[in-house]
Amino acid sequence: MFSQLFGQYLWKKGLLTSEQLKEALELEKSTHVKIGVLAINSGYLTAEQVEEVHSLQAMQDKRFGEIAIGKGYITEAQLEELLGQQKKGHLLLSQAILDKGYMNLELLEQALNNYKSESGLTQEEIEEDDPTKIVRKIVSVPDSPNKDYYYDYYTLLIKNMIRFLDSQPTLEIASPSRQLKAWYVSQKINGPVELTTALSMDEQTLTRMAARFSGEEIEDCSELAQASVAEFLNLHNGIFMVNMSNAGLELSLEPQEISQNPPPGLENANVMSLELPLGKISIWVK
Amino acid sequence: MVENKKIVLICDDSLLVRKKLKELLLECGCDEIIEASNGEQAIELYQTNKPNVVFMDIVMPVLDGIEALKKIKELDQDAHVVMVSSVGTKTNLMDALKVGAKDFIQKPYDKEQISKIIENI
Repeated sequence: MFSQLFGQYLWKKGLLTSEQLKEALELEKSTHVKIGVLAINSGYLTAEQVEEVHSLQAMQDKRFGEIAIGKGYITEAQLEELLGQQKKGHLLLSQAILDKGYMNLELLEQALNNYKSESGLTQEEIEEDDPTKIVRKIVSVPDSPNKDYYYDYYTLLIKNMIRFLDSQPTLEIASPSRQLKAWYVSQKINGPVELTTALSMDEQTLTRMAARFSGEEIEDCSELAQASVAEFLNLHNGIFMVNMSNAGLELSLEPQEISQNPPPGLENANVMSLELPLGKISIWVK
Repeated sequence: MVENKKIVLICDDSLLVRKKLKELLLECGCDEIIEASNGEQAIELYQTNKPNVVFMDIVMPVLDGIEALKKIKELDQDAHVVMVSSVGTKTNLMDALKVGAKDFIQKPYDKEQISKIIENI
């Protein structure tokens, strides 16, 4: 999930074009993270030191780690730790961007540090890359007895958007917005925990989301477009209920509704907005 | 050949699900597909068309899939009804099997599962 968030951040900041981001995400699948990138990420080396080691590597038949230890930049133990991290997924996007030559190390290091401080994510959280923990950190949910369910709901929704809507997703958890002119797809969950859930988005986003989810040629906000977005919500809520059922909580669903006005029951709901390549989607839970 | 016609009833309130399932069923060699968008319509269409198989959603307006299943089983003990739902909880599964569903498929469904059912008609 970190790749999706960081990719979107780089694009938003104008550090990558959407085309470059797409290419980097494509390359990410087959990328191998280099020790230099890992060392910067861990804060053991600066971009300048990595560049220096790279230049020395061009002249000596030595591995990156050997040279870095020789220069006294890292210890053997640190190198061991970095080698252990090489298989981790969260840095693959950075490596892909470097391999493509879209950004240099220094710029990437700066962007990563800025992202960490702006998002409030710690190094450990980024390394662990656990969607549940990341969502808890960057989505604000007011205190209520249902707080944990809201977090579970949001986390699963993000996973389902990645799974069902986009093969190369990027996303930003944007500040919540209550659009005045929007389509609302809503569905109620009943049982020991009662939730009203809804997705809202503008017409263009609804059309794009419908086309992506259904695989059909959808070009306007037709009945099929509306049915497609409604079915996405139904599918997601169904999976949420299976998760809850496995945790011992039996819930039931009502049929979905679609309208151009906020459905009743959403007053003072929690809103989280996601910025996807498809457009901005707000998620309401109460 | 007429007596071997494969007639299938799809009951789902989602236009998308009906469209996709219909396309798949035609690919699998079904001869006639009838569509209902709620449980009440499904009962009516079952009586008039006597389909070989019914694919039934659970969460629907007017009359839900479990209630519709019960009524169809009352009308025809041998009715072959397969539940297709996004809510694959144990409770739903048990409820459906208790009232006579032949099978339970969780959405998003797998094409293989559907084509196997049609092959066995």
